[in-house]
Amino acid sequence: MAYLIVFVLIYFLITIYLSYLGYRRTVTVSDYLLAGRQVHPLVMAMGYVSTAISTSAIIGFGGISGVYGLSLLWLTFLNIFLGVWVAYVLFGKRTRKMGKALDAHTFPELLGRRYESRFVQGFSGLVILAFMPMYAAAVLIGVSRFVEVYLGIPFATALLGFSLISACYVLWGGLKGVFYTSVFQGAIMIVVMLILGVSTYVLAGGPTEAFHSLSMLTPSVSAALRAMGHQGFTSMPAFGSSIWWYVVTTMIMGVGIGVLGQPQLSVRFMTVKSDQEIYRSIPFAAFFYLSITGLAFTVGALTNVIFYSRTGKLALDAAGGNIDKIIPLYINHFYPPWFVALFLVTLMAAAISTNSAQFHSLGTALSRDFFEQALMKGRSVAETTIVTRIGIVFGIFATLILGLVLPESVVAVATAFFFGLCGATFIPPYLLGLYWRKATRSAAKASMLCGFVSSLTWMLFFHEQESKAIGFCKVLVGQDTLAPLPWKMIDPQVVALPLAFIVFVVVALMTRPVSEETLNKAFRHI
Amino acid sequence: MQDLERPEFQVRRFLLDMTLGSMQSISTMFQNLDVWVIAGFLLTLISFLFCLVYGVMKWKKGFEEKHGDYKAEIQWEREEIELIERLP
Repeated sequence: MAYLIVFVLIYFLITIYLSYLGYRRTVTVSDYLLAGRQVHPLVMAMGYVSTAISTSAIIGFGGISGVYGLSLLWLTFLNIFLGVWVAYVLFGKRTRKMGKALDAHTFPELLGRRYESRFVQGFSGLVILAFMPMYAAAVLIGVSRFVEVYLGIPFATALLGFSLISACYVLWGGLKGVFYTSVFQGAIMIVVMLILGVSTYVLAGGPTEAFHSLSMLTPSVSAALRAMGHQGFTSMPAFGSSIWWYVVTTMIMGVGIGVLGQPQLSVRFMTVKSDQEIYRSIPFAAFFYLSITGLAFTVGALTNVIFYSRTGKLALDAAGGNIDKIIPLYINHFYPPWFVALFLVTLMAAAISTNSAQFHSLGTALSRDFFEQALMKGRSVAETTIVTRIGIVFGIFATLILGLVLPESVVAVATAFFFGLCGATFIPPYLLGLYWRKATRSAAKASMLCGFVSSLTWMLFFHEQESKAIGFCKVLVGQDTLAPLPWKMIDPQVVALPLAFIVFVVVALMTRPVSEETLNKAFRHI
Repeated sequence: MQDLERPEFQVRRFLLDMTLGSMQSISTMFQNLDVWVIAGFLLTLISFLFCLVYGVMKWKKGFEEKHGDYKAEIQWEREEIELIERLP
């Protein structure tokens, strides 16, 4: 307990100081919304990755790899290739230039101005307002579960405490405060994950012995999982099996591709002053992804070796069937108290860095996108910062309520849900708006509505995981899902994203592009 | 002194042993893994190295903006000042 108090105190002192620094240096609206567009490459990389990676990656997806094994490494590959190279080079450079040319301050504002459409901006803001709290709740549940296991504090109390902490400095510091603190938080995450990764290999007898022992556990996998296609922790699930569809389409592709349409990440590209910062951020961001998610997923799988050799149980059984408890239980059982305390601080850092960016996005979605565009019909108001703060408070309450009502083992699922929904709704108008001068306003509207509605429809009636949990399908037609195998296992994004792209292209070819003046302005620096 | 006893040769031999030893360990490690998991491992490493090399090669590029960019900066700053003046 003494270690925890010391680490937490040090952590909070530094965080409060950095947040205060952000507050002091926030003078203009642009400072509050875009950190003054003058962010250093290393800061940009650390801010980006520590926002993208949260407790969800460490606790949620670490737990998932504890159940499905090393197949999750494909997600690290997509994290690095799509989440860094494609996101930075293909999306980031043009986002920065177009954002600057159109004087966009938020992701929905970029889309709205590119397509000369208040609907596009207002609807994007509304999607963020309505669904980002679910992702924020997933992040908070991750750290709260750890506190529940480690300190025995009730889950609801931990959830409330963390919501308030992470909200505090976003309210004062704006995006500069978020950036300063996320660099510090990113540094803690890397150091602790490196210690965790190396020590796990040592505990398991070295890399070769660890993977050998892991492969030997295949017969111990439950008959139910094997019947669904589980082939052991060192193998991909059987091709075409229900687990294969789940792991590949939801866990790997859902998050791996969906990251490209994340509003709280895309806005980061508008915070740097030239392409040079983007280029220089790439190696750092790739290294952070490799050392944090790569290690989290490997450690998740190897927990089975450690649990089995010490308790005779696989990780999922040891955690009582709750996937979100695998990593907390592993750390709590097999590490010295000082490391457990340090790991808790790391989780706090991961949760707070992501939550603060989410709350910031929620605030700007309400003020800049929904309030100013949909309600005030485009009239700029001086109270942007105040309305943003109201949005943040709304986000905190919504997150709290969701955190309390969501079921167990939900962290990775809720994250994948939000990433998938954003991917299907935002990626087509975002990508084609950056590259295709013939992209039209009607196409953007139709594509966004198509991606959003088809995603939700698939979740409510076809994708068993959500349709069963929500129960709407059961009420209407008396069964959990309308789809047979494998369709009921296929992630909504796999269906909705191509559909949204097709709708965009077809409608764009039939309608008139936006005015020449806007096009020239948008592509001025490109 | 014979060639084999020269320090630079010994360093080279040490490095070669290290490399061969690492490769052997990696190949032994990979024997326990499914081909798709190995592919995931390798693609992860390759994509990381690619990002590293790409970032280093482009380290000094991308600083120059196209002609006329400063006009946007001036306009943007002017709007900022107007906004600040309107703040209560």
